[in-house]
Amino acid sequence: MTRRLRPERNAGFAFIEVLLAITILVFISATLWGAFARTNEAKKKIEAAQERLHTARVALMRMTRELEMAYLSGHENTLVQDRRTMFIASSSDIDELKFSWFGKQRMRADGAEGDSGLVWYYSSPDPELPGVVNLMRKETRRLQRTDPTLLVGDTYVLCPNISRLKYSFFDARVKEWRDQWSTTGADGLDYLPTHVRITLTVIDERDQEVAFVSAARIQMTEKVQYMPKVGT
Amino acid sequence: MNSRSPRFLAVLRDRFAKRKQRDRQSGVALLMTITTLTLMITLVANFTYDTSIQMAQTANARDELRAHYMARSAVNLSRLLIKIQSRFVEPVMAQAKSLLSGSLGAGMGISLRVTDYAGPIMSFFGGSKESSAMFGSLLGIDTTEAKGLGVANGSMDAEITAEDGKIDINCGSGVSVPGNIGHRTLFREITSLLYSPRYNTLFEQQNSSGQFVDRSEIARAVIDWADDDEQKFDPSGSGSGSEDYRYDARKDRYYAHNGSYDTVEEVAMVYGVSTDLLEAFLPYLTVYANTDSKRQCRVNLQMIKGPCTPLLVGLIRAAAMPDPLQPPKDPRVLDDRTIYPLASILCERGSVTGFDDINTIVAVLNNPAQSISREDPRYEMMQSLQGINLTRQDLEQVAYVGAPRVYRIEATGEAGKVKKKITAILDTQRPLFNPLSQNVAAEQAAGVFQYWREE
Repeated sequence: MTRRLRPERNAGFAFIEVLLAITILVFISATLWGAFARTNEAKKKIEAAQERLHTARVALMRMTRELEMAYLSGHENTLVQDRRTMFIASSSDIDELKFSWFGKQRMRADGAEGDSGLVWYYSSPDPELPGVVNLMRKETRRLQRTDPTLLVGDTYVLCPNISRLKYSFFDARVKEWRDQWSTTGADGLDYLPTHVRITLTVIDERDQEVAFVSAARIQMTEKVQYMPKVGT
Repeated sequence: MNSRSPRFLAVLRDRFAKRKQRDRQSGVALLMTITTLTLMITLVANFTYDTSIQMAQTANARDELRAHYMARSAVNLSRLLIKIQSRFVEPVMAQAKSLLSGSLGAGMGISLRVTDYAGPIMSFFGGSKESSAMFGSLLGIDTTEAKGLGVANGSMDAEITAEDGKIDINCGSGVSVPGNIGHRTLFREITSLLYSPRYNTLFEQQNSSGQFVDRSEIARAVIDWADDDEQKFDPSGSGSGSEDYRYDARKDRYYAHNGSYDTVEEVAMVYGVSTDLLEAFLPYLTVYANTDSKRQCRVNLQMIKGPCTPLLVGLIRAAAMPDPLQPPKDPRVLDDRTIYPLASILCERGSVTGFDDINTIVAVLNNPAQSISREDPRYEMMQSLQGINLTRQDLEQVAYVGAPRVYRIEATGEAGKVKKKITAILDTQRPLFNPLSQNVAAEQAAGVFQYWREE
């Protein structure tokens, strides 16, 4: 018996089918891509804003905590001009602040370092990005009776791209806020402010200024001083 | 049924036809669905990951703030306890002691310290509801209706110790003159503290400058760092040239303070003080003045507690060696096997009840067999131990018992995974030069912070 075979149908797509399929695919892909790109862009913007917020918040929190550990020593040689400990704030667009503190971490074994040092917040132009000003933090290894700029220390960017930094200091003795504070010089104060208000203005991801405000409560407003004669 | 039957063939044909029909479908829709799903899953995973990181960051910032304020609350509560101790408990105890010594000729033998209960009191205010209730039941108070007790998200704790019960290295400040008793006593105390042969390994290592430094050199350097002059301290009083510790010969050079220490950790900068030495002896040193009426650099033993045995060993040795360059009257004070068990018992007793009279300490040293109960596992050993020949006058050259002045507060706050520690030193008798309020007396009574550090 012979079997009659049916001719096979032509498998695959016709050219027009392929064109149509590709067109549909491109259209759907473009639509999807556009949606994803927009979402991704929005995500990046939100992340950048959050990153900026986080950087500013961390910088402010760090400054606040460090200021709480500020102190002024009563163990200074008053016959010489330079001081080991100080609290000096100079006013400008971006204020500078130098203070001695008890928060230093000993990082090196046998490094001959205690838990006191000098912290210095100042501004500096970014070496790679023209027009960008960074908030810098310098921490010295020790306290020495010399020009603070000569002291060895570690420096890093505390907050990038800032436009303003203002400090206000509450003088509990006269019950008023001051813009400047200095414990050195002939008319230098011999105590620390009780509160420091910090206003940090940063440039956000849209190139607009955003201000953040915080306040620190200084715990050791009186001089740290060895006084064996008291109470005996 | 035969496998080649027409019915069976029909079934096969039918299956073949269905498969062929299915094979003709190209699967484009499926591909697109899978691609879209893959993109969506990637995007969602990315979002989830970023969001969880931001959540963790935010939660961390929140917990850090909570932990910080928990620790600060613990410091404030500790200040209250210290105020109660110094303004109420100490005067009452002093009166009771004078009454008892007048009628019985002896003190109470204990020193009441409310500051020792800082931990349970902290848990009452800043622990869980259960710990508040537990502490309340101890006091006979029902806390179920009380408001403001316990903290839902976190906890706080504090430990209060007296800085007076340590060797004051600021006794080295001032000018080194032969008659400076503070300098001589400090030298005595430091060399005695470092004396034990068990510390030999610390002095057999070269320091970072490649030098070996002995015990008396370290004691002299500690004094020379704080004194005002440039002359090297000489315990014999004959003068030994100028200070030359070569701090300025280091790669990162510095200079001696030549003034009182601001903080006890400043001693890390002193010649010969290595990290190992610092770790071993820092707990026994302070830079805050105590209530020593003679101002002779004596240590206040009223509130010693914790691991105080090495300090007591050092003080007993210092008491027995009026001249640290000469051998002691009783050579047994140099024997660790004799002096450590005695100091250990004294330290335990001091940690539990404190001392209200220096005679209590002298009695234990003179007659160790009588100073221990029969139930104590060390009873047999103490019976065989001969006492040390030390008088009250000897011990009073380096130690005294009195109300403390300076307290160390170590407060911790915990929230979530964040733990914050604040170390604060409070001087209860320091005058205020720049009061913050009109009520100077109240401010003064709260004490003046001389140290504040947050970690």
